[in-house]
Parts: sequence; structure tokens; C-alpha cells
Amino acid sequence: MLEIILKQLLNGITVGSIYSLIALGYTMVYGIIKLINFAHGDIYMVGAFIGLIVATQLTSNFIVVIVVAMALTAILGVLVEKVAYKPVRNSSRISALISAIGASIFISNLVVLINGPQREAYPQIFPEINFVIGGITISFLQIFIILVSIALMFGLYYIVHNTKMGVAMRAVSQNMTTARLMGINSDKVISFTFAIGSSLAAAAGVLVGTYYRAVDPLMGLLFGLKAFVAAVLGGIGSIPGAMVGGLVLGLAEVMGVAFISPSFRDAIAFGILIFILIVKPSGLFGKATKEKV
Amino acid sequence: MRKIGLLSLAAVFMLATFAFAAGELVIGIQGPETGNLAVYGQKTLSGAKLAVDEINAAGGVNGKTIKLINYDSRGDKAEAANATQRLINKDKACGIIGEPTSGATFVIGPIADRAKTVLISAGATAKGVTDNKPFVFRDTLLDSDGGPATIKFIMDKFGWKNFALITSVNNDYSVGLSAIFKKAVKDFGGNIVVEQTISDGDTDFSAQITGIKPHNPQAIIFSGYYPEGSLILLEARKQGLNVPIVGGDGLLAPDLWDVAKDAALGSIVYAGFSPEAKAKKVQEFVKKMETRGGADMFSAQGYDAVYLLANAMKDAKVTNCADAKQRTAMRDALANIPGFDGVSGQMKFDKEGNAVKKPFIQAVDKKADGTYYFKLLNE
Repeated sequence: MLEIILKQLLNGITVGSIYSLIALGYTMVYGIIKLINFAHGDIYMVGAFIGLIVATQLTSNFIVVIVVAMALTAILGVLVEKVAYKPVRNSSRISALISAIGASIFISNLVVLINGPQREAYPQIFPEINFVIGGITISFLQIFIILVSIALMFGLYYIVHNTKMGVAMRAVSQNMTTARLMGINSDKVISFTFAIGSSLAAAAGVLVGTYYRAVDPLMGLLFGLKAFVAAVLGGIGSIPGAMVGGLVLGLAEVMGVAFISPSFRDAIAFGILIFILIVKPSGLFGKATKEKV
Repeated sequence: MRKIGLLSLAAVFMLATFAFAAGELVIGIQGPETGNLAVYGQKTLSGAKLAVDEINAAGGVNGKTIKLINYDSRGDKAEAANATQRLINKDKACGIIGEPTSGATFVIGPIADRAKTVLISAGATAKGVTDNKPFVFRDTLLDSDGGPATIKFIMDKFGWKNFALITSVNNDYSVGLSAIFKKAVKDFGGNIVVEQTISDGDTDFSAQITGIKPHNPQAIIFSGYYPEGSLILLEARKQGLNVPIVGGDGLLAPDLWDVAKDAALGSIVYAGFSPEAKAKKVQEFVKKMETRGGADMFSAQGYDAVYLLANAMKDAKVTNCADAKQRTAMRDALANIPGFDGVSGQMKFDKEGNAVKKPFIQAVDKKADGTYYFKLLNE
């Protein structure tokens, strides 16, 4: 029984670390321009498809696949910001929200149009290697996904705290007008934020593809919403919050599926959302960190 | 001028009715030819057309040719009801091949039954479609025949005793089929060692497979559809659980290996037709269907439905379908067909009009050139 629990913990952390990567994009964009980027889930899906194309047409070298997917998706993220969000930045919040939903529907349907609605097989990038440690089977892929996620999150942390752009991001998130008066090009900072968030989503897309070995054009909708729940759970606007929120959500889901019922998978995620909005709307880390990026 | 026009029009109609009465027996067919279930209807129609062409080329039935009239129901129940009324009242159909889906067959079955016109569904699998409707038949393989036969077959052939069972809880087909599988495993002396549930649309099955693995089943019975099936296979291999999955025709799709690749090898499904069957009849059918969109389960059942109707017409010596007595005689002849050797297998009807037939049990296999296919196991 203990073995199963440990194995399920590992399953939960794997799913959770992917949620975390996507949640970071939500939280950063919200931190900067107070906008919930509902197209983020679809950007994640496009990242997965770019990875698929690179892996099947060019090379199955994982580094190349993930880097190309992250780079191209970053460009898409900036493009979405320029087309869908910038024109309505000074309008009411509801306009921005509607624009975000429109962008989401547009992107997913564009991919359906190009690819068709069916699921696509992801090539096997890593051989299936399982380690047995103390009676527990641990797959190499799970460990790899967790490590890649942690590395990317630390990379983000470094950028935000140790680079000039990071300082600018934090300044804009505190007060955009003041930051602009101090000579910060806020447009550039916002674009950069979208680029970083989108590339992390693309990384998550590639990891999901290599893990589940299948992607489909509508995968962004639910996964994106779950990641949004993770961001809210952690305290939207908080980077550590997004990481922890993703892990908690992944664990709660897998444990719920394993020990209660899989029918509750989505109910658990959205139940957490409702619960957190009632009990602590600022999220787990919402108050603790003043800094918002 | 106008009068002459009307008169000649009336004359043409009279002539047409006369020709119709003299030389043709009408079989009606309806199904979704457009819309999201279009494939089912189109395939059934193309199989039926082939059968009608063959019968007419061989001289027809009782000295008359068969005329096939088809209507597109678009998968819409109201449209299906209209088409049925039209086939019965206006076209004076001897028999109707109706609706590959169960839902629409529930609607049109009573209409045909009240009008004493034979209706054969070439696809409805739900329970109760034909019950208490003497004029309604179906020539599909039922899950209640396919499931137990498949379990018995694999237990006898491979000696498997212990199975895991996965049900998709938000899928009626899966819930129904799981109950059939569960009973069959118990009846034939096997064990369901672990049960797990999933939901259609899920992609992460790691928790379920982790739950199954310690029980060491010899196969996983999965009663749902292929999109989840292929992901379950991948997840099982990833966790080092190298057992096949066994399921119904919900898994019968090339998408199974398009996604799961080699993980799909050895997966076992049953269906109402296999183009691999060696029977001469089947191979001829496959060949003839090559230019008509390919042979599959629906075209095979559509083809068989026409022959079933034609045989019944022959046996009942039907010459005029406007005559309710002849239509009733035709119904009795169909119900009492002693055994019919179709391209979708040997069949006869039970007292409710359900086809009793053997499933084609198939396993995913790979050819030397690397392409996958369903290999027929029981022949």
C-alpha cells in the first residue's frame, strides 16, 4: 500500500510540475497588467504542436525540440499580446477578458483547421526506462519532467531577481505609470513577460507530449483552466505561489483519482478554485509576497 | 394550353405508377448521409447499393427488379421519422433499411411496426431496440453476444484467468459493456482482480495504471472508445505493465495504433465484420467494395440487410408491396429464415428480431512492412 501511495505521489508531482509551468504564465501576465490571459492554454497547445513538428520533421533531440518550441511560441505570445491585448489595454477589464477568450477560440480553431480535430501521436523521445528503488518503480521520464520543470522555474526566478529586465518587470508590476516616469519602456517589459510566460507554456506542452505521447488541438482548454486554478490557488501574481499551486493541484487530482473516483478529477480542481475564492481569495501566497511579477 | 400540359403530366404520372407497379419492388434506406455521423450512413448505403446492383443483374426477385430509394436523415430523429413515413406511404416500400444508430431506430421502429412494414437496422446495438415490435429486426452483432464470446475465446486460447477492468463512467456504451464483460468473466471462471474507472476526455491515466499494476492481471479489459484506449496502452507500457487490452468495437479504429504505435500490438477487439476473413464470400465483397469506398462493418451489414430482405421477398413470393398481407408474409419469412450466410457472418433471428451471430475476434498485428492491421483470430 505504501508503495502505491509513493508511486501516486510521484504521479501527482509530475502532473503538478507541468501545471506549475503553465500557471507561471498566468501569474506573470496578471502581475504585470492585471489581465487573465485566457489564450494561455492555447499557447501551451501550440507549443506542444511546434514540438511535435520539430520532433517528427527535424530531429528527436530533446534539447532542440524544446528550445525551438519555446522560441517560436514566445514569438506567438508576443504576437497575441500585440494583436489581442495591446489595443484594449486602456479599455475596461471586461473588454480585455473578452478579447482573451476570443484569442483562445481563434488559436484552437486555427490549429483544428490546419491539423484536423484528431489526436496526434507524439514521437517517443526517450526510451522507457524504469528504476526500481526499494520496491517502487520510478520512471525516468517522470524524474526528468520534474527536473526540467524545476530548472525552468529557477531560470525564471533568476531572470526576475537578477537581471535588469527582471527589475523592470517588478517595477512595472508595482506601478506602471511610475515605472514609465522612471524611464522604463513598459511596452517592452510587457512583451517580454508574454514571451517568457509563453515559452514556459511551450516547455510544458513539449513535456506533456513526451509524457502522454499524444496531443490534440483542444488540449489547451482544460489544462489551461487547471493551470489557472493553480495560479489562483497559489495567489495570482505570485511566482512561488504558481509553483506551489501547481504541485498542490496535481497531487490533489491524482490522489482524488486514485483513492476516491476519477469522475472527481475536474470537480477536485474546480472545487479547490471555489474553496480558495471563498476562504482566502488572495491565495496561499497572495499576502506573504508583496512583490508581484 | 395549360390543360394539355396538366393532362400530359397526369399521363406521365399514370405511366410511371403503372411501370412502378409492374416491374419494381422498392427497398427504402435511410441514414445520416451528411452531418457528424455521415460515415455510418454513407457506408451502409454503399454496401446496400452493391447488393441491389447484384440482385438486379441476376434477374431480380420474383420477376421484378429491386429499386433502392434512399433518404438522408442527417442523424436527426425527426427527419428519420419523416423519411420513414414517406417510404411507407408514398414509395410503398416492401422493407426499410433504417438508421445505423440506436437512438433514431427507437423512433422509427414503432412507425414501421404500426404500418406492418419490415425494418432492418444495420447498426443499432442498444438494448430493447426491437423488443415487442414484430416488424423490426437488426442484423448487427450485439454486445451481449460479442462480449461473452470474446472472453470465452481468450480464456480458452491464451489461458488467461485474471483481468483488470476499466470502465469509462461518463460513457453509456462503456458502462453497459463493462457489465457484460464482468458477468462473462465470472461465468467462465475467471476473476476481475481490480476495477478502475476513467472518464471520456481524460488524458492522464497514471493513477489508474499504478492502481492496477500490483494486481498483475493477464489483460486489461477496457470497455470504452479508442482515444482513451490508446492512451491507456501507452501509460501501461510506461509503467512497465506489458499486457494487452481487450475491448469491444469501440476500440476498432486505426487511431488505436496511430497514437499507441507498438503498444497497441496484441490488443484484442471484437466486431461484426472483418475484411481479413478468408470466406470466399467476404473476399469477393471486399474486392467489389474497393471501388465503392471500401468494405467495413457498416457496408457489410448494409449489404447483408438487402439480401435478407430479398430472401424474405422470395420466400413470401412478394409481388405487390401495397398489399399488407404480402408484407406480413414477408415479415414471417424473415423471422423464420433458418440460417443466413452473410458477409458479416452466419446469422439467424431470435424471437425479438435480433441477429444471433458470432463476433469476429481480432488482434492488432504488424505486417512485415511495418503497417498495422487487425488480424482475425477466430475462423
